Amino acid sequence: MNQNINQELLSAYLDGEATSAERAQVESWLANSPGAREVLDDLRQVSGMLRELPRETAPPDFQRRVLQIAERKRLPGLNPCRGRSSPRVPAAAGGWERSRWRRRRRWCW
Amino acid sequence: VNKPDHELIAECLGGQTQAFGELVVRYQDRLCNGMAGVLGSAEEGRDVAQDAFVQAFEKLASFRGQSTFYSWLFRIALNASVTRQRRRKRVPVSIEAVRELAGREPADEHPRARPDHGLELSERQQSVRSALSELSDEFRTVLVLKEIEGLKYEEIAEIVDCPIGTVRSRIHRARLELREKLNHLWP
Repeated sequence: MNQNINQELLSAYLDGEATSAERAQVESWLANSPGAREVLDDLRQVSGMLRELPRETAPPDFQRRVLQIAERKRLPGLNPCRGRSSPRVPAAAGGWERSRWRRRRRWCW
Repeated sequence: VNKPDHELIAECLGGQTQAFGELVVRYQDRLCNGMAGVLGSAEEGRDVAQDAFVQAFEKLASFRGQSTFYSWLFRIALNASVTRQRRRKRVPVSIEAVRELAGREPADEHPRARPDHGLELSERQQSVRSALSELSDEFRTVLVLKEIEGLKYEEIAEIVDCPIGTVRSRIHRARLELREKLNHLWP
């Protein structure tokens, strides 16, 4: 019976993503199958190896650079070609406001 | 007191760019780390993370709050990485890039999960980085989201835009493939 259990359940079990019925199924399988225990152990080790990888961090000036680029895009006078989807040009803007913005964009093409 | 994301988003939409700056500080390390895992390069990870934050700023008005801000941001970053990879045909990770990524202190160690073998930690980490870079984009992405980002299947499904069953299957198959690639680390 246990031979038919989907092996994917082992990963879901390991990740705490199996339902209670699936957990019971897997636990019964593990109790009776050394092979299943070995696979689960391998999966656990692979998971551990990935989690122990060094963590990358952002460089010290990351926030400043992001805001600088974002601000440049937000201020169309500085660079009209790059301001097309800024929050200052909301999708809801209509009429004169929108057409004025469209005209300004045309200067770039 | 840290303001919740939705307040910072509202302030940013109201014109306070500094509120977005707080969101950047909140998630910059996490996104750089996640994208470094997806792209196999710390430098490219930082570039894509920067692009993603700028795009998020531009598109902020379209964020509906149906997912967490970070899930939304990560999805933007993934799309940016796909565009980037299309522009520059993906090349296998160089040993320098692997060393660059392996040369930092681990923040999350699970000693009980480590196999008992003779390799030094950094050598093993280089092997793991290299094997991870050899997985298909689909497998690598879900594995990074699960193991490095620590997300639930539901959140991963949202980010990669596929059913939870597919996420479950990909994570399992990705682990098995990685296990095979790292066979030399097993006693």
